[in-house]
Amino acid sequence: MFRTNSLPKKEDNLKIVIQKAFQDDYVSREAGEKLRKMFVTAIQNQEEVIVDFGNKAIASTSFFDEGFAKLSLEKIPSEKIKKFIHLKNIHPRDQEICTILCNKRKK
Amino acid sequence: MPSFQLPKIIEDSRIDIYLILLEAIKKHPKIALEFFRPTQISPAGHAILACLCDSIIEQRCAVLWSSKKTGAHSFISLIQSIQEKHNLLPDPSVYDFESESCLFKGIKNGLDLSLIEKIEYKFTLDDNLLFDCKLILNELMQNTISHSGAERYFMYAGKWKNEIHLGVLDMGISIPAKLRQKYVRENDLDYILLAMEEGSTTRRQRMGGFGLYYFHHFLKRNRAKLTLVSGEAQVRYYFHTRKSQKSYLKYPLRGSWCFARIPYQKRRIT
Repeated sequence: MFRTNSLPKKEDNLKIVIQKAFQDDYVSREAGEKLRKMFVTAIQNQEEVIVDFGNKAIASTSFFDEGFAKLSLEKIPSEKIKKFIHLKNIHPRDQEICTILCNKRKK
Repeated sequence: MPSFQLPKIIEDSRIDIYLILLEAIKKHPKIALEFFRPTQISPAGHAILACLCDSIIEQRCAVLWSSKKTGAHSFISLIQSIQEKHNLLPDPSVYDFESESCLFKGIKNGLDLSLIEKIEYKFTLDDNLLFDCKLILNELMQNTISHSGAERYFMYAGKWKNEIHLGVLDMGISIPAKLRQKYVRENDLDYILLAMEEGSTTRRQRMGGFGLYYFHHFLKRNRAKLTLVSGEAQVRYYFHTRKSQKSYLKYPLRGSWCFARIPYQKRRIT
């Protein structure tokens, strides 16, 4: 559903560095919701987003469910999500969780 | 005045002893507590003792400590001095404790990732196990914050006899009491089992929720043991044998205690 380690086409894109933007809380549902809202706004503005995890393990189903999986509930076509959201330096286990949760929400 | 001799090893295998003690603290204005010397305290034991100490202070129960401070386990000395010094509940960080094999933290009002972040540097663990430990603690912490209504909770992580022990304990609203707001089940045991099912949640504004389901999945993957004690029931899951023990408590727990034990391997050096 999400591109990893790919470069967006435009240069003027939104870059979210998880360690900075979510310094004190990168695990809760509230943090995930905040991230999801940033995605929705960016997509509405036709702005590509790079989310840089800095190879840091998040290890939270709540964050990925709220931040990523629930994008399917925002009625944004998955092609658009794939086009506009790029994940960078995500821990492989977090990638796994994200994929599982996104597939669960789609059903 | 009732007298209690605490076991030589304070850990999560015999919870009933501590529940009896909690009941006594509520009922009696004065109790006597005896500790063995030396006393061993598992990582979970620190959290249990902190809960007991909080209860002693809250219930204004006077305690006669029959072990001397000198030569006692350093955490017991800490507990004794906290209990003697405070008439009101102190900030839970007064219980913070770290040793070579244990991280223990008292946390107030919300999220605190510091202990979870420390695990990586403290213990040499396989990368997958490290990730799973972080995930389990993250989920337990968030469940406590979201559902227990407790202002404070205790979190621990540590090594104990070739296992990693992790857990979160709170003395807030029990799991059955919380789930009873939304679901109808026969008894507290059924509510604890419900908490482990996919999709169960008590959230109203935010759609659920995988409850403790995924956490259950990671414990299964690590062939771990999980003990959930809350309200009037207790469930112990043994994932390596795929068996579980379910029982009712003679003395209920006002709160939720979650203990996980995972066999561990040292981090592979590549």
